[in-house]
Amino acid sequence: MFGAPWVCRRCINTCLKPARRCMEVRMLRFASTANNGSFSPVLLARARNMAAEHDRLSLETAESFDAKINKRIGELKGVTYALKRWEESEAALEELHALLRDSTTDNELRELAAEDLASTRAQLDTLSQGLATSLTPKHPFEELPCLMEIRPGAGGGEAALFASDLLRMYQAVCSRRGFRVSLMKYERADGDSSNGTPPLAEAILEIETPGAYGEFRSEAGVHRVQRVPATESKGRTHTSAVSVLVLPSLPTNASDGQELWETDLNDPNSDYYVNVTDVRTDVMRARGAGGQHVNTTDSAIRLTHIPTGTVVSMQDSRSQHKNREKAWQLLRSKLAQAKREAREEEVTSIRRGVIGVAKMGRENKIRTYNYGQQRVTDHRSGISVHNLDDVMEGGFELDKVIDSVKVWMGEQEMQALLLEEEDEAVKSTKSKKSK
Amino acid sequence: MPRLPHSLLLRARKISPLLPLVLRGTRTWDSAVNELRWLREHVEQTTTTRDSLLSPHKRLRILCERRAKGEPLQYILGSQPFGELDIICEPGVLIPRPETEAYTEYLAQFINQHHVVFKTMTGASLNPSTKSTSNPLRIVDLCSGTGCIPLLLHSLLSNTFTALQIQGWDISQTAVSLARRNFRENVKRGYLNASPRISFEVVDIFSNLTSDQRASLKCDILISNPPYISNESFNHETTRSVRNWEPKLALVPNISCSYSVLPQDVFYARLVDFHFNLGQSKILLMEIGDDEQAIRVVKILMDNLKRSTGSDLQNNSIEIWRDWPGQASDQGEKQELVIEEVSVPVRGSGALRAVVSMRKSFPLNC
Repeated sequence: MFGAPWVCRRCINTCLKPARRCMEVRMLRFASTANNGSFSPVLLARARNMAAEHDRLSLETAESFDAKINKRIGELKGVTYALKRWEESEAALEELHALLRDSTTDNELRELAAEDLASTRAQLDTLSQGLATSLTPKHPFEELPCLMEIRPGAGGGEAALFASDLLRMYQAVCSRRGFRVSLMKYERADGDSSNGTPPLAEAILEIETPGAYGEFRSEAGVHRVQRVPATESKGRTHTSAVSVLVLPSLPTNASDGQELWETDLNDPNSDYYVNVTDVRTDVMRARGAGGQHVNTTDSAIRLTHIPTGTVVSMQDSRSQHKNREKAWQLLRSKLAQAKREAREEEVTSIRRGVIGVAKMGRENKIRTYNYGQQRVTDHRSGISVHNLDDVMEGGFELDKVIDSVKVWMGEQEMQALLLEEEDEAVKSTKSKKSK
Repeated sequence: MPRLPHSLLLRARKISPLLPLVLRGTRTWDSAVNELRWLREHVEQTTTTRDSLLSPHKRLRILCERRAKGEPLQYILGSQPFGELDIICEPGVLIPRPETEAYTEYLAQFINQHHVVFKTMTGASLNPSTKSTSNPLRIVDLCSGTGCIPLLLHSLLSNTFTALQIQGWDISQTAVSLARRNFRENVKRGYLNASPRISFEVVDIFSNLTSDQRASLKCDILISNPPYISNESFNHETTRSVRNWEPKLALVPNISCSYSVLPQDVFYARLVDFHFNLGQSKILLMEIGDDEQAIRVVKILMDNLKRSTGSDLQNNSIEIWRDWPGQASDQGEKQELVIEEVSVPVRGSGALRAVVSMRKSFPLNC
């Protein structure tokens, strides 16, 4: 009827699909806040406000010293500096435009100005980017070390195997970057341990280097793996999931050299505060005769935070004392994270009507590791890399993925900030009108 | 000893061929998994010259086989964490128990809370003209064993009390030398500061005490974890690893003396005697085995109170502490016991573990 020979579907698809290299480019998202030097007036107003506050505060502290004000000045300094540079560059651009428009300018000067214009524009671009990043509020836990909890999800034994792979990946990336890590909790699941990779029931990795939370907070979420598991005899590909939770690790005592934390731990309004009377401690021991009649090695400690129902248990060390300390550390981190999330939830619920902000919670699938295609795809930034082995060994490819997610998160936060500011601006004009 | 079900042993074998061995020693699943992990860590950490020819796996297997025969993990690994300390354990000396750790920490916390009272008290009772700080808080631990109680008290109190004088007495030469070694080791590792005022001596408290020893007993706090198991109970109620591996000397009292009490309670009669008649200790703390023994010990205390002149029930308070005295009591656990028409408060949760007698000559309300 059509005269064309039959061609199998797979061949057609291969012909029609662009080459893989092109796909990669196509899958990159071009969402960006780069806007050719023009800057949202709302954000600019915010930046100016902050700069004004900075100047006022520095005048105040010129005579007397106040640690709190000085801290605030430190926060504002970045914005003020970036704004100044941006304004200078904007003024230069304006001047160049004026020169070009002026009919009395001689030709030689006009040429020079045109040349300059291009470079100034480029400079303005980078400066407005810098201003944007300095305006983005820093995450309050950014500077803290972190705890990373890895737990197999759906997928049974295969998920447990992949969880230990992920654990090894993070340990490798930390040792490559020179971060100090220790395994705080490691629980084996039932299963075969003869092939060298004991399946994991739960592991908590403590990354003790300050700033680790900022570095790894984008890793929280569900990691999906697609591969033929070692336990599969018929060669079928399975899909399973492992959840990773990243918690800020709070300093336990003032001996870390940070007096600030000590006050925070005892301040009921801070995120780090846990009321001791709200926590029930259980020493897990078998019932029956105790004392000299038996000699057990049970040292497990379970803490229950009664108001929230958060339960933490720890049995890694032989010392009950150490288990208790670790359990407290974990409980504090969990509660601080929960408090912060609750606050963020409030903000987003206000904002939700305006934008579907992608929440980076633990329930969302964030990344896929496909062994068949040797591919790792992050679903947030849309980046795909094809060197899976290097990623699993914690190599530079993993850095690439993490960095792309961080850029994406920065953009998200920027947009959220923009919306918030616009919202406020609208509100303030409304209230002025009503007056 | 109930048989381990086959299903459990098979399940253990699936995880590791060594786990059934450990399970034979521990009898419970959770502690078997934990103990195997600790044994593995121990093998990875230590490379003794004697075993270095053997592969790590072989060494681990040998340790697991020892555990299967019921040898306590603490003797195999050679230590037991106790509070912040690490106590060396060797055959011939009783292994420190977690309950002992709990009440020692609770006592230290109590003393720290009332440190002002204790400081003025020690100052006033000895010599009012000198500064209170120059008079040490004096503690004597009878039947000290590994020395865990004196060492932990030292570690917990030395921040509050600049002057401390702690003594540990035991009848066994092995125990006393181990206790001295424990002190040195913990100082070396930085868990303790090397205060000179902690000493361990071989003393038989049922012999005629020398005048120095009598003077030492006039201390502020008398604490003891004496042998308290009856012969009958030793044969039927103790677990295999306790019965076969730990010293009977530290568990069952074998003393014939003039006190008219049950054979397993002779130490308490002696301690109460010291507390009321010989020394002037402000606090007497004694570990006890079970509920009946707690009641018997409280009765011994009350009998002595009635007999001794000058002191009566109003000037003394008796308390019973449970396994975890710092915790809130569970539902169904009595908060007081009525013994001979006197109500005795009971603290914490768990089984009855210690009897505490305090003099009310200083205002203590806990």
